[in-house]
Amino acid sequence: MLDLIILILLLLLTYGTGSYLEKRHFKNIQQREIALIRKPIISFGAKKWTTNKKIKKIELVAGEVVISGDYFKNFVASLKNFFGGRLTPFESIMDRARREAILRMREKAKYANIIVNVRIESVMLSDLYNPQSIPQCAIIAYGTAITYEKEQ
Amino acid sequence: MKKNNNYENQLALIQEDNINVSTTNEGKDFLILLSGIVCIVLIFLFSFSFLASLYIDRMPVETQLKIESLFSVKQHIKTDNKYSKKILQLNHLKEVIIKNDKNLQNKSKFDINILTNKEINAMISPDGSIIFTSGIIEKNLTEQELAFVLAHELGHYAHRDHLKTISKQVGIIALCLITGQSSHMQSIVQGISETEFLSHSRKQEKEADLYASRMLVKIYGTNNGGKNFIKRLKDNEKTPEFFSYFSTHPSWEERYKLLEAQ
Repeated sequence: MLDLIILILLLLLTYGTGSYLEKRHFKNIQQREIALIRKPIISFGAKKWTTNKKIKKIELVAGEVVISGDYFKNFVASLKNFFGGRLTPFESIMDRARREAILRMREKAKYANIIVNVRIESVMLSDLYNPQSIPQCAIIAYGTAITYEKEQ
Repeated sequence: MKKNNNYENQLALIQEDNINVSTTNEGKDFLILLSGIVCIVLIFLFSFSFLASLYIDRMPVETQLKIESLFSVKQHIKTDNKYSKKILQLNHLKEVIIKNDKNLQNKSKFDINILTNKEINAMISPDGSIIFTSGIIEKNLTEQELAFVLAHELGHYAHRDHLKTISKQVGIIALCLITGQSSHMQSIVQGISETEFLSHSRKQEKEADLYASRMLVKIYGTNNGGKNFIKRLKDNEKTPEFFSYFSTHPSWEERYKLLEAQ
C-alpha cells in the first residue's frame, strides 16, 4: 500500500514537472523558430539543387538532440506497451526533438542563406531487449548549408 | 517594415495551432488506462478468491489436513520451561473452546507454543499450531482475556482463513507472472493486489473477533474478557487510527466498537 502511495506521488510529481518543462520547451522552440524565419531557409526537397547566384561557401551542417521521456511518460508508455495502441506520451517528445534538432542545425548555420537537402534521422539508444532500459532516442538533422556572395 | 513584422506575427499565430503535436491529454489518457487496469485486476482477484473460497468452504477434511501438513512450523519453535504453567492453562482453555465448536473437532492438535518476543501478539500457523509471544503472556491476562485471544486464533482456523489467504496469494502471484514483462505494470498490479489483500485481511480479523466474542458468551455468558483485552491495548495505542488502512488488522478502536455492538 505504501509502495502504491509513493508511486502515485512520484507520478503526480513527474506529471507536473514534465508538463511544465514541455510547455516551456515548446515556447522556447516557437520563439527560436520565429527568430530564424528569414535565414537560413531550409529545403527538404530536390537532391539536385541549382542557383544562378555566386556561392561563397558550401558545408555540411548537423543538429543533434538526444531525448527521453520523464518518469510519467515512460510509465504510461510502458503500460500502453502491454495493451498496445498509440504511444501518445512520446508523440509530443518526438515533435520537440525533431524541431529542436532542426533549430540547432539552423542556428549553427546562421550565416548561410539556404540549407538544402535537409534530412532527419533517428537512432534508438535504448536496449530493445531489456525491459528495464529507459526509452531514449537521438534525432539528427543534417543538410548542406549554402552561403551566397554578397551582392555589390 | 510594418508589413515584415506582420509576417512574423502571422507565423506565431500559425504555430499556436500546430498540427504535428498530438492534442491528447496525457493525464486523462493515463487515468482511463489506470482505471481499466484497476477494474481488470479487481475483477480477476475477486472472482479468483470467490471461486477459491467456494471450494475451500466445501473442501473435505482429509484434503485440508494434507494441505496443512505442508506448512508445518512445529519443529522451529521451542518453548521456555518457565511458561509450562501457562501452557497448561492455555491447553485447558483450548479444550473448552474445541468442545463448543464442531468445526474444530477431529482436526489439528492445535499445539500451543510460546515464542520469546516482546511484541504483544498471537498467531495460528496453517498447520493449526498456535503461537503466543512472551510479550502477551507477561501481560498477566485474566482467564477470559486469554480465552478471547485463543478463540480469536481458533476462529481463523474454523473459518479456514489460512487456506483462503494462501489461495489469495496464489492469485496475486499468477497476476504478477502474467504482467511480469512490464515492471511498471507489475508495480501497479502489486499495489492494487496488496491494498485489496489488506482490506480482505481486516475483514477476516473482524470475523475472528466476532467468533471469539460469541465463544466467550457461550462459555462465560459475557464477552467482557474480549472487551477488556482490546480496551487495554486501545488505551496504550499511540499510532493514529488511519494507520490501520496500511495494516492487516483493523484499529483497536474499531475492534472495540465491534465487540461492544455484540
